[in-house]
Amino acid sequence: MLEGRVDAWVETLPEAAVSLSASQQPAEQTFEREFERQLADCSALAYRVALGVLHSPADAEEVAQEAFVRAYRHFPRLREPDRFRAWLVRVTWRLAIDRQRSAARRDRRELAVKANEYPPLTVEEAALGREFQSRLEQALDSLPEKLRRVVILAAIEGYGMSETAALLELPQGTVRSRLHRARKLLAEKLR
Amino acid sequence: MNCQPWREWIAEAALGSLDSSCRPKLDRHLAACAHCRRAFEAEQKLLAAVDDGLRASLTGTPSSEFVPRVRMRIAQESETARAWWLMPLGRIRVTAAVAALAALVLAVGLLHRASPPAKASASRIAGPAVSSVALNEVAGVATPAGSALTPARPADSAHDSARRMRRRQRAADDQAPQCEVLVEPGQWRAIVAAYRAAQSERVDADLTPDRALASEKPVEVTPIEIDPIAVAELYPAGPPQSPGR
Repeated sequence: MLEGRVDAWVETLPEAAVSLSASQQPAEQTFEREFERQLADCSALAYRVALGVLHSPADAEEVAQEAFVRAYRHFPRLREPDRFRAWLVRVTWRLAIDRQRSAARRDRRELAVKANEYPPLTVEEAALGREFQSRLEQALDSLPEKLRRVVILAAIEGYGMSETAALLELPQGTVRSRLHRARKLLAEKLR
Repeated sequence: MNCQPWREWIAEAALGSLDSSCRPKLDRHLAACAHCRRAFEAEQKLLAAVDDGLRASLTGTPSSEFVPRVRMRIAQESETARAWWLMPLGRIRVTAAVAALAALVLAVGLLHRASPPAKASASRIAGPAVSSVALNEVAGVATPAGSALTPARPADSAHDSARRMRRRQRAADDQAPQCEVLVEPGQWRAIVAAYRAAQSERVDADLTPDRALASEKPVEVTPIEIDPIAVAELYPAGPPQSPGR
């Protein structure tokens, strides 16, 4: 009688082990799946935020990659999509600004050497508005950071006033006034 | 016409933020003043160009390698996280631990030096052919026999007993003359036995070095008899003559 019960218990052991690992496995898979979804949904957002600061696709991509690697570390507490997006924008922005500042320091050091190495704009490039774009980037870079963040986010396709306010976790009125001041300053610098 | 006061309103109107009560007045002025109308149109164009330029610069998407690269970096980071001692913080921890250990060893060494004169220790000093034996060490080996004269109290623990023994040994080391001898390999047991005997003032024939050495197998020398060689056998035709003669 007892032997039969023990045998029955032993027989259940592998199943119990399988059921334990099976219960853990979906949790990990869910984690990975959620992160993959956020990676697919928000990679363009992170890239464009970085691009708005750095104006270089290669640099922007590197910064966005770094932001996602950091996001993976903190993902367990960032699973809500809105929270993740706001966090990602903040981190991407900070990384891009840091990179821009270090690049600016490097450029200042190398300015004396490379001043004559930049190729002049061709007629075609000027005609295509490269010069205006360059001036716009300079004007954008000279804006105060809180204005620059608003104007870049609001310029990203699909992000209106309310989405920008949600991403920056600011009231819509604040975002509106900052956007107005930013555009006015840009116009003054470009006039 | 002085149009300077209208400039602010023109800029605000182009931005779309002019107060609605002011707009009719501005419209009337723009209808009358071609210069301000051109300025207003230029401002609108400029702002449109700013918005278009910003949008154009922010429409790109990352390359197709973006997602695989992120996955690769995450995988690399996971690997590195396992080897925590390779991380900057881990390296600092390991360095600190090594430094602390080195400081501890140094402190122990200094304390040891500060204690009573160090006893000589046995060490090899002259290559494999000769061994150095400190006789104080030998005396230390013999001391437990002396301690048998004052047996430890039953209540004493083995630890206390050992500590007393060490203390006594140190005192004996301090008083004993320091000397060191070089001995041939294989003879040190005989020297030790002789020294112990001398220390205990118990010298008998069995403990002399000669007797102890007698246990070692002596080298046997067998005499060989060599017969003188007969020259006649070597040179049956007679000894050769030297060429000079």
